[in-house]
Amino acid sequence: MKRLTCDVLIIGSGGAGLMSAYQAAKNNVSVAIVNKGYSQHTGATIMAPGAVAAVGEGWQSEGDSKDCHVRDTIIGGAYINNQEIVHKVVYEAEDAIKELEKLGIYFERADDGTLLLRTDGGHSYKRSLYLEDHIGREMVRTLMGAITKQNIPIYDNVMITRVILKDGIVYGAAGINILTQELMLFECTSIVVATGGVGFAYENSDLSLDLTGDGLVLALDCGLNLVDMEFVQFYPLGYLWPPSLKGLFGAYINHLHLLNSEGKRFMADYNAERMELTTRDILSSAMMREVREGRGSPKGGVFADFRHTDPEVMEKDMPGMCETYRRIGFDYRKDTLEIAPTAHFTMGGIEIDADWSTKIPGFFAAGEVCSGMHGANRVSQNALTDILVSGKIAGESASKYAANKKAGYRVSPDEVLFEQKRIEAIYDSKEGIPVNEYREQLKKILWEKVGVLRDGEGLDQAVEELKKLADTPQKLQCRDRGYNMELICALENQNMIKAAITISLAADTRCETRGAHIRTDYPSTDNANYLKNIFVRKIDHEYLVELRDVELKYYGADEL
Amino acid sequence: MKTTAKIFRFDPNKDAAPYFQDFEFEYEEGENVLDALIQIQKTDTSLGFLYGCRDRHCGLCGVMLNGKAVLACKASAVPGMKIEPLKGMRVVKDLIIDRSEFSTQKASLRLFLERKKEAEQIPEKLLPAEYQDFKLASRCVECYCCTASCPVWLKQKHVFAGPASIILEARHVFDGRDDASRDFILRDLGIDACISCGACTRACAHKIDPCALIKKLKDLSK
Repeated sequence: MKRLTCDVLIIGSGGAGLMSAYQAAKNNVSVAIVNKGYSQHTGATIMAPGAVAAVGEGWQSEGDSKDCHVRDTIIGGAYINNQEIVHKVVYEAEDAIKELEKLGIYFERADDGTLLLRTDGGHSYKRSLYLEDHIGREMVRTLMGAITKQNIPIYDNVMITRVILKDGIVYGAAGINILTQELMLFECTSIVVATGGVGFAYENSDLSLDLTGDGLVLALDCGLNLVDMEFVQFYPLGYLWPPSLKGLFGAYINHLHLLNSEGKRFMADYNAERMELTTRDILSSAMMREVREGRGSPKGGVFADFRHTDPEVMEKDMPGMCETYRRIGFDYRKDTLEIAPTAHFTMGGIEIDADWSTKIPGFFAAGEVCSGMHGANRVSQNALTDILVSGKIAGESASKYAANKKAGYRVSPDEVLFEQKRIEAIYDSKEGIPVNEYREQLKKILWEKVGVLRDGEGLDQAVEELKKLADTPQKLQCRDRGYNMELICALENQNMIKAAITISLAADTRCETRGAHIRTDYPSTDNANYLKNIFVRKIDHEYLVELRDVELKYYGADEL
Repeated sequence: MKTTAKIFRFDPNKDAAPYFQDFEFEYEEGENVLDALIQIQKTDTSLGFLYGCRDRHCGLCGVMLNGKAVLACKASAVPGMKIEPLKGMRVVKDLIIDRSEFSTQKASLRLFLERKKEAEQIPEKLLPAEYQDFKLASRCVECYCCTASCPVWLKQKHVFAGPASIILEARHVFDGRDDASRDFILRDLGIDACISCGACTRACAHKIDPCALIKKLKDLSK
């Protein structure tokens, strides 16, 4: 066992985690980062091709304002966002972005040296900054530089499996070194969970393998609420072919027209005003409806048409994707591409206050793992905004908490024995389902019954099947000690299944259609009964569901 | 159709020496190497192979395909192909390389913006024409395919740190805001040993053209 000590432990080294670490270290506390894989090679941020939305002095479009950004975010979120959180993220985004530029990030510039802006679905004005098609990596690279300068240690290839509480307060975290299977015990005063969402639990997913809901389950296991879990965003434009690309980002909304099998630009029937630039939920459900009504493409999607876009613009804005098109033999100047929706983002997450703290002293969270910012549906380009600001504030809060409550704790090494037992139980299991198969079953249930279009019957079945699967042991094929990827997959499956149950329970409870949650048996939005957030928590093996009213603090009270 | 792949195996906890194992897999035209490896890993879960994003962003899936360094997600599968870990790298297990030698080295590269005076206004006026090379270098996902293809690095690691490390440094050299003198770092990395053969440029999945950038760096310091 390895025992390490710090004041603030950051779990996850994507954008939110790194921003937290950077901010926390400014406050004279010792900070450490743990990451499930190799930093800068894992997580969702490095994959983000899009842009970061913010209104700020120096790049503000005429007529735009922070209030307008708040409004767009809340309308996109179908009014159930936590408005306090939205307000905070939008209003502090300018400073966070300027800070990032001080640290050396480069956003695309016009020839006169001013910032170039981009827009995408759900935004009223151009307000988003970008760099080619890899702004996410640029953000991570910049923050990684800052962290190197601050000398913050990063423990790569460590999966945290438990938060250690004593008298309801955080005292540390336990986990496993993936390369060696050595148990790891971190003694710390506060933690920032920044592990992202759980979109990888879906069969069609554009996410990297890491997004398995680890942090959501750390919170759930501590008794914290997960909020708005029914809202999973499906990015409408995922590849259908070839198999290894299935579900991945197949196109950008701003350069294409969507056609059905009759060659019609069908978005005119769903949202004639914004067409393809509407929100992603409307796009995804429109596509799936076209498919259901027999106007889909042969592989079960619709057609993306780029023929009206200048090839030079295509090559300039999305060089990587154009390269992939060539490799798979798709000529965007002549042909159309079959695409279908794919799980992209988890709007729901850990219940947090507006300082990104939780009900457990010492437990903070940042980024996609949190709830509140995006409501029922995330507006494009708001994720990177969220990770920057939530990371910054969570890091600040966690370090202040730690500074005021310096040490005094000692965690017994026995605490890690629980984790040892959990691992041995997987090795010892002679019966059960092979780990791979277990994962496939889980992904299939979610995709088919808790996917883009949902109904009560399917959701009831999903809850039942997932609970049954959760009680089924997994069986290892590979018995290797040391580096054993299958064991890590098994641990991840244990997380994904719990998160999946919360998604299904919340979706089953919300008998209406709102944002990304589309119930074919309740096709309209029901503000009288469901202008609420759904909270799910777990006590022992029981999941408890609770509905709470949304507070329309800044916007929406007059409209609804 | 059914075909086979010959895959490098080595588990330092079990094996005295590396060996090759033949795996059968179902091959379809248009599939890439990653498709095959995922399929094979499902039948033999002990196969050590890392990938993350499936589409060139994570930089984890670099392997030697029939002797050529590629990202498994970006290279078409070939019936009867031979797959090995990136050349010249220490192996953690099977196809997984030990990245620690690079992460140790990275700490000395000072991969952050260093300036004597903070900018007077943010956002700064930055001319895009002056940031073309910076943007190219920023594409690097640190897959190390270029380094594994570099004949100089393969022969004399102690003299030349490899193109990937130089590209990471180049991002800061080409940043007009940066005041650090990075000449010494480039010298320490052995930039003068580069023979401009272009192997790195051919290996780069992100079209960075390390060879040309390294040449520019050399010219800058003359």
